[in-house]
Amino acid sequence: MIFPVEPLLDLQGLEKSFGGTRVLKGISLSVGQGEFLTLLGPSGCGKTTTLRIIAGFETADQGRVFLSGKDITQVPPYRRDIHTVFQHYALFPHYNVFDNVAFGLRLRKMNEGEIRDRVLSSLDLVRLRELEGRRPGQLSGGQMQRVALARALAGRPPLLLLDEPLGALDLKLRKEMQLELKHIQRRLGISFIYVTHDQEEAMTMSDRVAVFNAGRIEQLGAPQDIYENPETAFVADFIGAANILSAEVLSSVGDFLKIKIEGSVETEVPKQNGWGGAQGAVQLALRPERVVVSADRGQAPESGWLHIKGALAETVYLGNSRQVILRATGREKNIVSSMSAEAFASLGAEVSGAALAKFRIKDLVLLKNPEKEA
Amino acid sequence: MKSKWLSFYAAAFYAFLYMPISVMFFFSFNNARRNVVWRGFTFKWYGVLLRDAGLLGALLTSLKIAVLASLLASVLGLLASYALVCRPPRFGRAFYSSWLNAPLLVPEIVLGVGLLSFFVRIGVPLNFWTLACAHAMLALPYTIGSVRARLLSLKGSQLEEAAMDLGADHWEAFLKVTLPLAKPAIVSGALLAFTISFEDFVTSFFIAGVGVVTMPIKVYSMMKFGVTPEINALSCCLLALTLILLVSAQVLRKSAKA
Repeated sequence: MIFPVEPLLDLQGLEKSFGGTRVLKGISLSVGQGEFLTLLGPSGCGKTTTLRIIAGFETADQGRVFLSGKDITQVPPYRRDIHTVFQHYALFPHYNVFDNVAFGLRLRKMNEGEIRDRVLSSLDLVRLRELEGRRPGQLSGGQMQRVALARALAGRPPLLLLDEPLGALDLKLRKEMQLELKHIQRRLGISFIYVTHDQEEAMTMSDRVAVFNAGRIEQLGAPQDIYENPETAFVADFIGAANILSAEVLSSVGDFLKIKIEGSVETEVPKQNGWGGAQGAVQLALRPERVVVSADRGQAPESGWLHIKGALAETVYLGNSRQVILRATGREKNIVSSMSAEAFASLGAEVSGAALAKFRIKDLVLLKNPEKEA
Repeated sequence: MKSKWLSFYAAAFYAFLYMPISVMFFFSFNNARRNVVWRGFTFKWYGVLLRDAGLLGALLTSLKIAVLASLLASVLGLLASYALVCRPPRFGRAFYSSWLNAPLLVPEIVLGVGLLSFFVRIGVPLNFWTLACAHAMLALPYTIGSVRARLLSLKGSQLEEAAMDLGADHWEAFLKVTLPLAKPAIVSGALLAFTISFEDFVTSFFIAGVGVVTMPIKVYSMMKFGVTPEINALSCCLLALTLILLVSAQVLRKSAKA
């Protein structure tokens, strides 16, 4: 991504080890003014360590951190213009809500009148003004999280770090808070760096998502871009679900590549859409919602479609959809399909034996770096 | 059937624990010079106790030493626990923290002999101050234990990090967040230290200098001339004092956790 002005935050080649274990293996990324960037990945992938290095709680073994062009790699946390919303809120139990939010402002020796205005406007932002006199122990989880947010925002930092802030809330509250967070971020124009392992959360809120895996950034891009064009098997599988198919490029004919999928199905794909340089063994991702399962009556695929033969293994009821699992013939991994309730109903109970997984050729996504996982 | 035996066992167990104390308690009201035969009820030994200048002097000495020792042990204990929990050494954390418990493990009589030869060796005259220092050393494991547990739970809640994130340097974060939240544990440790010092006999016996007579030493010397119920009366007062301190230490520790 190219920024018209210099990025607000710039990480350059961060490396970090804890007791001989390399946690970060060269993290570089930039965050623009007013951008909502999510660091997404499974636990232990290095996303929280990256956040702690940005906050100043950890020091990188190698690499630099720049904030508004200034090198802050060695600056202690209390002199960084960055505030954090902690996963478990970290509210001061001996202060009431007002004093919690005022904590940072009082350290700056602002006068009490000004502090009062700032605290109340921050509490208004999270709609908690009426609770200013309560102690943290008297608040619900959702309220504590809002106070933590108000406290971090009170100093109007240009950059806010959020470390799985919604992790401890129940699903319904989490959905509400997701929208509210996004709304507040837009309204204030502050940059957010948001850490989560919840891909749906990342998709809902972010301008860009950095997918972390084992101390590296696997892919960085807009949510839609990452979802539709995953570059690695890890990203394809972590963002939503994906069937990873192995394939072999047989030959190149004009504008088309001849490929063989799973050692059985041969087809031709157009070279556009990033298939240009593909050769040898490759991996393809296929979204479950792009797969339709139907009974195998020996029918030939329609034009532009492919079939993989197998047997119906299991169906899982998911309310508004059905997950249909097909055991493909001669393949270790199952093929998963996600079908709407109606589509599943029309499939009927007739599929008890031989079945077909049907999908469009254009829905196959070529993974660019299949061996990056190692 | 089973529960009957269990109740009996429990009753016997408590009798075993508390019989000596209750005997001491009842005989403090015994209207006789000896602690053997009950000759009727009286408060007179409490009166004798209150008029015993030697004993009251020893009580005052003990109180002064206990206050001093508990202050010293609290400050040193806070510093040591903070260092161990919040600024741990890169290597050998377990080594450092377990060696701080040494006074608990070494028999007190060994400590007494050791302290005596130490003070004599470095040429420091034995007096009130050396005894207070020795008591502080005895009490340190207790103050450290109390404060360290609290600091550990505070560290897990990232409060000091949150304070620093909002612009507090190490010192401000300590003063505004850690210290107020650790205060109940510090006070509870100090109360424990006070009772340790106040009750100590063995160490005091070895290194109390000339003219420094603490309460336990005074009682011991009185015993040589036979046990009168005055000592029982004194023991009852001490028991009450210790009980109050221990209960308040416990209450404070509970409130610190909440």
